[in-house]
Amino acid sequence: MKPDEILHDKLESLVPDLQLDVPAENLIKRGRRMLAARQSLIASGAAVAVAGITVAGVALSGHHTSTVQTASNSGSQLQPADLTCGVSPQPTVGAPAASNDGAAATPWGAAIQGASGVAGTDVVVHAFHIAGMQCTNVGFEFAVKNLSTGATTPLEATNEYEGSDIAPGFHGAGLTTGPGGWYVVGYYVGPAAAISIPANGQPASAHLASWAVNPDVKVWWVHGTGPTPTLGTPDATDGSGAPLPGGARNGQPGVG
Amino acid sequence: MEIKDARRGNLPASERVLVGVTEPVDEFTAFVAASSARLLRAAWLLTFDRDDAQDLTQLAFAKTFAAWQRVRRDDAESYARRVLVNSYIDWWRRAPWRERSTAQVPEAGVIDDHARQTDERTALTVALEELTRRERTVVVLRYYLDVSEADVADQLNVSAGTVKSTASKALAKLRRSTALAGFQPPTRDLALEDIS
Repeated sequence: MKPDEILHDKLESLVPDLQLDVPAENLIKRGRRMLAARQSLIASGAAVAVAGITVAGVALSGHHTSTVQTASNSGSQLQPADLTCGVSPQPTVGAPAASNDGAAATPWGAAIQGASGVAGTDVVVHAFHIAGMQCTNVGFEFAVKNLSTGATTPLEATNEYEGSDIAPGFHGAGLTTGPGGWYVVGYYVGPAAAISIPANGQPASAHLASWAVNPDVKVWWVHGTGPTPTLGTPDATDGSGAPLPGGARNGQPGVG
Repeated sequence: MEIKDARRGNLPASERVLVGVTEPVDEFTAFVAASSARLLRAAWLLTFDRDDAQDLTQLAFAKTFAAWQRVRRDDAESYARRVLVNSYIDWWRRAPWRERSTAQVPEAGVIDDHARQTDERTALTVALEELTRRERTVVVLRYYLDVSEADVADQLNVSAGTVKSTASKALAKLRRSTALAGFQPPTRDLALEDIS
């Protein structure tokens, strides 16, 4: 046996029986929070850079004009920090203390609960208040609740991070797996009465519910079984069946 | 129309369907399943603590997911390993109270009735605890994870010569460790004197 192999085996003999004590889903969530925090820092940096060259008093009707103090206006004068949100973000009046961790956050408004599509379970959604992002104040945590035991299994926490969180259209759509199969979750801003998304080419109708704090915000989810599907583009329609905007590139009306 | 996914950025729906949602998550989940045992065991050898090993490994995986779009087509485990060992070195540097007394022998991996083998494991554990963090990191990377000298140098951001000299010092300490002094292994094959 080579010396390297001897030491390897000796080291191996020291190690107790170990297994990662969290599922990959939790690591993904933690990684996503890191990404969101990074985006937040980038956005903050951009805001300061923009504020440094913004002419005081410029504000567009209906546009976000949050203020920050910068080196160039370090006195009492505050200037518009950013005009790129497109639409003002969700107001935070009455919101609980912010936490960027959906699972750990105090729910913002009443929790939403509706049929999951799996017998004996519901999907439960709560909004959470996000701090430090320029155009986003709210995120949504989706979980599956076992109606017999009351236990919940987290599915997905999602939030906008580029552009306004409540610009008309789809936001934060994501596909994940959970109890009883796969789930597509997200939220839509606008007067949607129905949402559907092609899954493996077949339209799947979403469960839809309004967020009490801002009824224009509709959380939605689709459940399916079998392998995770190939998804198409979701569609939203109003009460008369007329199509609604899905959203556009950031910086344009219908951000997200 | 464009859909936003907080995890992966603002991708057109058509792209997202192909590469933005299912594939990376599934890939990452498979990556965790394939590499978690190896990284967790290495983390334990660095920390000699189950909870700290969990923390380090989970941090490494989370950071790897945050960089997944960038590292998924390269050597993701190398990236995770780099995060893990650098977090270990930084973490201990910033939190010296995490240092443990070598008088407290950590748990052994396997309960073995054979006293000599148990003594050997205990002696090696104490000897490893007497190494500096960087020395122990080099030993774990080089001799437990079988990472090449060049890759260890790259991951620790030092020269290959530094890795070589650090490994040499570490092995010398292991050979001369008082924890191992007087211990006579049953055969030369099991002795650390063979390691150079």
